[in-house]
Amino acid sequence: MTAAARLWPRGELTVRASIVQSAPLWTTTSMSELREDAARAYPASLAESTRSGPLHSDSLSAVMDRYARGEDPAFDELYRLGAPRVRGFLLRLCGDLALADDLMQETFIRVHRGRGSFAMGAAALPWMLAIARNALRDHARRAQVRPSTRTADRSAGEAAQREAPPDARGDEVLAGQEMLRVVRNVLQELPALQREAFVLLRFEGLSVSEAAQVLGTTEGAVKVRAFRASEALRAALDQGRRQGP
Amino acid sequence: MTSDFDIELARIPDPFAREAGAALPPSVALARPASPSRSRRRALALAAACGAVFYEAVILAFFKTRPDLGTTSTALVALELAVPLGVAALALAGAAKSGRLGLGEPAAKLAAWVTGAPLLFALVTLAAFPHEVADGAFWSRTQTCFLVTALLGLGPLALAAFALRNTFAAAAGWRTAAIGIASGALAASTIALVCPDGGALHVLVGHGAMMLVMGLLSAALIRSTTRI
Repeated sequence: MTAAARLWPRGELTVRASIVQSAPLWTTTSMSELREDAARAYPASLAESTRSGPLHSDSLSAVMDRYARGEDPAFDELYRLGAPRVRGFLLRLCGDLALADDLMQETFIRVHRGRGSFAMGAAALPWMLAIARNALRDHARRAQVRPSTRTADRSAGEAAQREAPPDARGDEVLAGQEMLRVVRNVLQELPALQREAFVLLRFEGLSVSEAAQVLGTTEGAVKVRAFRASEALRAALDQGRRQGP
Repeated sequence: MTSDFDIELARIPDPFAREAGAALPPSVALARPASPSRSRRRALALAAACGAVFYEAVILAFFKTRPDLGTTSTALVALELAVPLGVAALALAGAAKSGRLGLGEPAAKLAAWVTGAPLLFALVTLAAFPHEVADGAFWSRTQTCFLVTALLGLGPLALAAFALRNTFAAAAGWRTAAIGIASGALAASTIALVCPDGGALHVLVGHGAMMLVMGLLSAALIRSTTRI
């Protein structure tokens, strides 16, 4: 059995990590405390509010279906329902809000152009995410640019600070900021294929099979890419913890 | 304190959550150009299919049907027509299937369709058609047929590329390759009405190789047109 296959014994993305007994980066003495710190600095409710809603949103698919049939007024509703998810997906891939907004607009123009090819009864969100991915890839091919990690660092820190509860201790806020910074940097440094697979599985809530279809590849390839991404993330977290504050 | 335990990646925070929740900009797609609805797209695909058949008929009329059509084995001619048509139908079905999510079939299945259809043609041709002894004119005859088949395939491919603009959200390369294979297979079927040479090697190279050529050409050149 391959290492990647061991990760999905029940179709879940989990990693067994070896924790080094050394001074931690996030002012905690164990990973469980680290997670608690991060959870305090970064409330779960926020993650849930922006993380994937139901993948097969019936209302979004129904609106897309109406639009595909030629009901032009359905576009506004389609944008209202689909744009947050599309923008979130693009943001996690490119790490730049302004670029994500531009690409989201490009995605909706493409959705408009290709609306007639939306299959009856299909799920709209994976279809839109696949189009968004195409828009991003085309942009990357044209621009040959990589997102700025310096901007990412600053934004991550600001985001963590804004999210800190009023009663959070300074070290907890610092731990949360640091964790967000590491996760964000690792995501931005990952090869695009690995980042896409990881984002779809972790943040967009797709199954391996669904992610494979959005990415136009095999389930095995998605597993391997996501596994490598998770390994890179784990390595960065371990390294940061070993280096200490 | 344990030294080994699971880190669930699901617990890793989303560093973009805050930004992703920011207010959406207004849609700039307000002045949208007209785009085909589903029914219009179907009509366009049907028109392209009819156009492809018409194109084949025009080319066929130009080159004339083979002189031995009345005398040669009807079963063999039917086989020469049916095998590539079957391949074309298989390839088209592979490209057109919307799949569970509307994104087409999974990539592994598509790859099997795209590679399996021409392989099926090759196997049936080698098994069912007579194996001729190559004479001196074999390659010139085969080359001529190859070029005529290319001409026969280009029309349907161009029509398909036009009708299928902005169609494939995912796996566009595989699905466009399948369209190319279908165009090549249609041409391979039509050339069987022009060329009297029913030798296995001639049919394989002169008629059937165009499937692969058009499949590769489509994936390389037309994918950007068919992809949304």
